[in-house]
Amino acid sequence: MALITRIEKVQVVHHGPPEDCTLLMNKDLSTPFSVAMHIGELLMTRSVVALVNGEPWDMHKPFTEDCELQFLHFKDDQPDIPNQVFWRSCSFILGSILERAFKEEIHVELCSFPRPNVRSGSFVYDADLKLPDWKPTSAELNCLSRIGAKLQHDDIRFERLDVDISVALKMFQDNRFKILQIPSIAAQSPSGNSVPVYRMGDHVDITRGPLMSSTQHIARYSVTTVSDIDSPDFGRLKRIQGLAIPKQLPVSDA
Amino acid sequence: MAAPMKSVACLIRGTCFLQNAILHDTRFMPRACTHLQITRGRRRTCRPPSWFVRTRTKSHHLNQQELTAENKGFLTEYVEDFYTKKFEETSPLKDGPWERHEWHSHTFRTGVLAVKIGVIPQWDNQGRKFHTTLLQVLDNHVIRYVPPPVFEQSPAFKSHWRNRNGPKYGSVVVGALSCDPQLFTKEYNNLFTEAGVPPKRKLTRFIVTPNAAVQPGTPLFATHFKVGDYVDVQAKTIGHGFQGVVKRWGFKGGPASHGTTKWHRRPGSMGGGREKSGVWKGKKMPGHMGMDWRTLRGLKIWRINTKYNVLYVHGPCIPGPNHCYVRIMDTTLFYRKQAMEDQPPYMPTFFPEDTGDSDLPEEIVDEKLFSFKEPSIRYEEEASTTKKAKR
Repeated sequence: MALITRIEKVQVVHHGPPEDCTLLMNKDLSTPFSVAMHIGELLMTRSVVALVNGEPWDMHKPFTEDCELQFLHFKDDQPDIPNQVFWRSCSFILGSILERAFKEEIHVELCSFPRPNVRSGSFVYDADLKLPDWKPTSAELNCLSRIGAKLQHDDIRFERLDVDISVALKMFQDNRFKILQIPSIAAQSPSGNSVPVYRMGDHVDITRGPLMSSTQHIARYSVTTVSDIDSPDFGRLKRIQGLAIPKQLPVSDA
Repeated sequence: MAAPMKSVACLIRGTCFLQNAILHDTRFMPRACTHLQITRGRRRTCRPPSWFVRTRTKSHHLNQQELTAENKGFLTEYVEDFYTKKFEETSPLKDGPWERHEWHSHTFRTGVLAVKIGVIPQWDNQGRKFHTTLLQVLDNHVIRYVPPPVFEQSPAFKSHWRNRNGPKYGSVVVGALSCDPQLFTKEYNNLFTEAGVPPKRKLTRFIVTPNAAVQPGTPLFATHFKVGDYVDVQAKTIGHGFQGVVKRWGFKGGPASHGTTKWHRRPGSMGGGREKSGVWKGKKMPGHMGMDWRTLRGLKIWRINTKYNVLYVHGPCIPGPNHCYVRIMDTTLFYRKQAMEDQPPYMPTFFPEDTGDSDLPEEIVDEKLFSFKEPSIRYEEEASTTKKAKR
């Protein structure tokens, strides 16, 4: 009996449509997504990210204390936070594409991506592709884009895990850039020792977050250019840029 | 006559066309096979079976001896490079772009699905006016490629597309006009998962040879064709509904006046008598008119607008009303295809890299088309030969 831990309850006060309500959820188990499941399908499908006590919070991150909850979507009056979250998630997805799209002989090492800046015109990922002279043709960019576009059908969740610095170093031991970045990332965390790691299916990467609830929000995804950049810390890298549009904002083609 | 003896079957070996014939009755010996040897035992022949492929060349040893050491080294290096693909520039992607093959005279490329915008006049260098139809290639993507052995199994495959080597053609499904997936059912949206494109409003299929296979997800543009090319255009004609015989078949009907009683637009006699009695099959009568697929062949492309993907195709009579869907393909007319031998079209389709370093111009115009930026056509004054009228 002592092995069965007691599940504590937390009080979650939901503000916003369809109604303001108070729910009793399980601490460290229930997520904003489970609150949405209780309330209705609309919140489940359209919510991109949640606001817990005013802070952006992943849809699949468990509650730790009593809080106030709001769901954010793309057609809010002020969609800045969902937009940033979407842009960040698309960069994360770009990293996943780069790791999986190339042949086995090419060991791609992902470096990092900058803070999402919607005004810059594209989301970005810097990586060492080990192909210094590669100029991708439109057909090759198309192939990369297709991998991203197909993710919307798979509906893969973005799950967050805060790991210890030693675990993180072990996870990313193959990547020379991440090993250098992990100590500084861990230092920024409140405990000083934890690294936020996100998982999308088989792909795992480090990002501050939050990321969107799942890949089903993507309507269009395309990889646009690959260019060379000189990073002061990490040397010669390739900067891969892309564009994406969410499902809630349909765009006419004709 | 006694019953024929059941003789022991024996194998006849020989070099004539009755080789390996098993004769049960030894009394019957065809005259042509007088040189056959009758042997008992197993069947033997000097000819190899049909599946046999020779592994070594007969003259391999001789060739090796004639090579110098330098040349042998070169050949070994060549073979290594060939199999590590250093000669071909292949893509670093795992699931990269498909190989681009060469065009030959029996190639069928994919076509394009366009929308008929309308008719506009154009003028040639001699000042002659003609009409062209604007066909806009709206947001085309290849949805699926079906290779010949798989296409052979589908109900769409026609038996005359087969020859003794097997099925000749595969098919390419092309879609036009991307749409919001919420407009369609889940089953329809699932058709587009392979290509990774949004669901399209209209789909069509083109029959292609395997060398013209296009990867699903490839966009198709108006520049799939070149200015000066000839195309076949297919569309559904304007639907007129149930129509009478005068409009449908061009019958003369009867006089409008002069006492005609109730016989103005009727078909009249239905046939003859005696041996020709009865109404024959296919008799022209009132019925449904229009909404038929019709093909216009050998239409010239005078102009291409690359910004809006518009083709200016010769003639005002493309079937269908404005804003109808139109299928456009390379022409199958023999003499029009001759030009394609000298300047083969883009295979399997146009990619933006095919323009090289230069940008694609917004308007590509046939050299015989008059440009309004040029000075007007001037005709030389002829010396006047007319006689002055006598007063």
